[in-house]
Amino acid sequence: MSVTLPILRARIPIQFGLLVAGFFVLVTMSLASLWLVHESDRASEKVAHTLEVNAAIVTYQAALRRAESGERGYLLTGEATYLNDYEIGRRRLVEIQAELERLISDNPQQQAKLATLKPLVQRKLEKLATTIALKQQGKDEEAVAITRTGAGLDLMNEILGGVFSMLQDERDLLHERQQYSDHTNILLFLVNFAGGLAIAILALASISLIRKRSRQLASAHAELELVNRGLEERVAERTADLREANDEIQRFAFIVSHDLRSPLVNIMGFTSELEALQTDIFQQNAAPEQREQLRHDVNEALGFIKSSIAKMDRLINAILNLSRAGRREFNPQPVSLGTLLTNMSKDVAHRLQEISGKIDIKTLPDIVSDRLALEQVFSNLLDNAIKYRRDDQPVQIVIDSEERGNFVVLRVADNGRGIDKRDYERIFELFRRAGAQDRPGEGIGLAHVRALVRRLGGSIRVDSVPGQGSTFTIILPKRWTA
Amino acid sequence: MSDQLPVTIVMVEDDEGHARLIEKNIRRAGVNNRIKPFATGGAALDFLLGSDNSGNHHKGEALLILLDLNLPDMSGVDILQAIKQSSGLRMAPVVVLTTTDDRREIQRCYDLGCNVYITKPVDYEQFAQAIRQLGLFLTVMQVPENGAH
Repeated sequence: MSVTLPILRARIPIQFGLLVAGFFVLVTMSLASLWLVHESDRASEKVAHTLEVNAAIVTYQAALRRAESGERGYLLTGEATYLNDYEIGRRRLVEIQAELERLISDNPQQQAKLATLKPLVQRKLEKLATTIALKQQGKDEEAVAITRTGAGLDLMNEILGGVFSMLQDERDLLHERQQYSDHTNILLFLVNFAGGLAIAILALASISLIRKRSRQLASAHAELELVNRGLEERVAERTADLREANDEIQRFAFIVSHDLRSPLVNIMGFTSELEALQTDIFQQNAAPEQREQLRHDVNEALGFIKSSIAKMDRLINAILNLSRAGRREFNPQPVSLGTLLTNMSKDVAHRLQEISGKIDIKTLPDIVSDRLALEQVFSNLLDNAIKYRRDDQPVQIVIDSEERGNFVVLRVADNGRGIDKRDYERIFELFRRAGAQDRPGEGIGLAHVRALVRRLGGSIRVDSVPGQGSTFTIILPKRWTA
Repeated sequence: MSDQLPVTIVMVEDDEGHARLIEKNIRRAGVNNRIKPFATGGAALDFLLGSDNSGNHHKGEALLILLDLNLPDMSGVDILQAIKQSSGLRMAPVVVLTTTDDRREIQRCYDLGCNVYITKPVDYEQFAQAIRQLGLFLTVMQVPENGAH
C-alpha cells in the first residue's frame, strides 16, 4: 500500500512572496508617508510665514495710519496726547519695517515693492515731522496750509496702493501654498488608504492560503491516521493469522501423533494376543470346538492387524498428500471464476440429476490465482454439499460473490444437514468430521481446502443452521502473487 | 459381586480393535459385567442423556463409563462435560481411556470430574496391565446408584 500526501512545499514560495510583497508595501507606504508628512509640514510653515508677512504688512500700514492720525489730532488740538500717538506710530513703523524686511528676505518681488514703498513712507514721515515742527513753533497757519495742498493725501494713497499690492501678492501666495498643503494632505491620505488596502488584500490572501494549507494538512493527517490504523489492523490480522497457523500446527502434530498411535495399539495388541494363542495353536490334541474358537481368535487378531495397517497406510497417505499439496508450485494466472465453476458444475451434473439437485451460479468475477488450487477447493465444497444433503430435500447450491476492496468474497451455500456451531472449527481439522458418521470419508477434504485457501492468501469460514444448510465463505485476494 | 449391584459398563470407543482388546482384558481380569459399546459420541450421548439431556432415565441403575477422547464426530471432553453437568449421571464414575498423553488434556479431564485417566500405551503388556488394574478397580469401587446422593 502506498501513501500519497499532497505536496505542501510548493505553497511555501507563494506564502513567502506574499510576505515580501506585504513588507515592500509597508516600507514604500512608510517612506511615502514620511516624505508627504514632511512636505505637509513645510507647506504649513510656508502658510504660517505668509500669514505672518501679511500681518506685518497690515501692521506697517496701521502704524503709518496711527502716526498720521496722531499728527492730524495734534494739528487740530495741539494736545500732547496726539503727539504721543504720533510718536508711537512712528517708532512702531520703524520697528515693523525692519521686521518686514527680515520676513520677506526670501521674496525678491516683495523686496522690490518694499524698496519703492520705503522712500514714499520716508517722505510721508518727513512731511508729518515738518507740520508738527511748524505747529510746535506756533506757525499753525503754515502747517494747515501744507496739509491743505493735498500732497500728503496723494502720498498716502500711493503708499496704500503699494501696501495693497504687497498684500495682494501675499494673498496669492497664501492661496497657492494652501492649495499645495491640501494637495499634500490628500496625497498622504490616498497613500495610506492604498497601502492599507494592499495590506488588507495581502492579509486576506495569506489567510485564505493558510486556511487552505491547514485544511490540506488536516486531510493529510486524517489520511495518515487512516493508513496507520489500517497498518495496525493488518499487523493485528497477520499476528492473528500466525497464531492461528501455529495453533493449527500444534493441533496437527497432536492429531497425527494420536491417530497414528491408535492403529499401532491394535497391531501390538493383537500381535500379542496371537503370541498368547500360539501354545494353544500348536497343541495337537485339542477338541474340535476348542479348535473352532482358536481359529476365530486367530482370524480376528489377523483381521484387526490388517485393517490397522491399512488404516495407518491411509492416514500416512493423507498426510503425504497434504504435504505434497503444500509443496506444489502455485502459479498465479487469470481465472474466470464463472467459467471455472460452470465447468465444474457440469462434472457433477450427472450426480445432481440423479438426486434432482441443482446449482445456481451467480455472476462471479475474474481474478488472478492458482487455477488447480481453486478447482480443488470448489470441488471439495461441492462434493461436501452433495454428500451431506438432507434426504428429504433436493440439493440446492448457490454460489455468489461480492467484491470488497482488493478482495473477493465467495459464498457456497447449500441446503444440507448443516453443522453444529461447536464443530465450525473442528471440520477444518485433519481427520475430524462433524455430525452423524453415516457418510464415507476420512476427514481430510476441508483440512485440505483450508490449507489451499491459506496458500492463496485468503481465508475460509463456515456459518450454518443445523438442519437447514451451511454457507462456506471464502475470501481471496483479487490479484494473488506467488 | 454383582448380586446387589449389577454395574453396566458403557464403553464409548470408535476403534473396533481397541474396543475388542479392552473387552478381552476386562474379561480376563474376571469382570463379567454387561458391556454396552458405542462407536460414536452422538450415539453414546443419546443413550446416556436421553431426549431431555438430563440422564434421569438411568435413575436406579449403576453405570460406569469408559470414554475415549478421540472420537470422529465430537470430542470426548465434550461428552465428559455433558455427563458431569447432567442431573441424572453426574455421580456416575467416568474412566477416560485414550491414546492421548498430553498433560494439559489429562488435567482438563480431571478438572471436569473424570475419576480415572488411563493412557493406552502402544506396549501391549502395559495396556493389558492397565485394563487389569481397571478390572481390579471395578471390583473394589462402590458405584453409586444414580440419583442417590
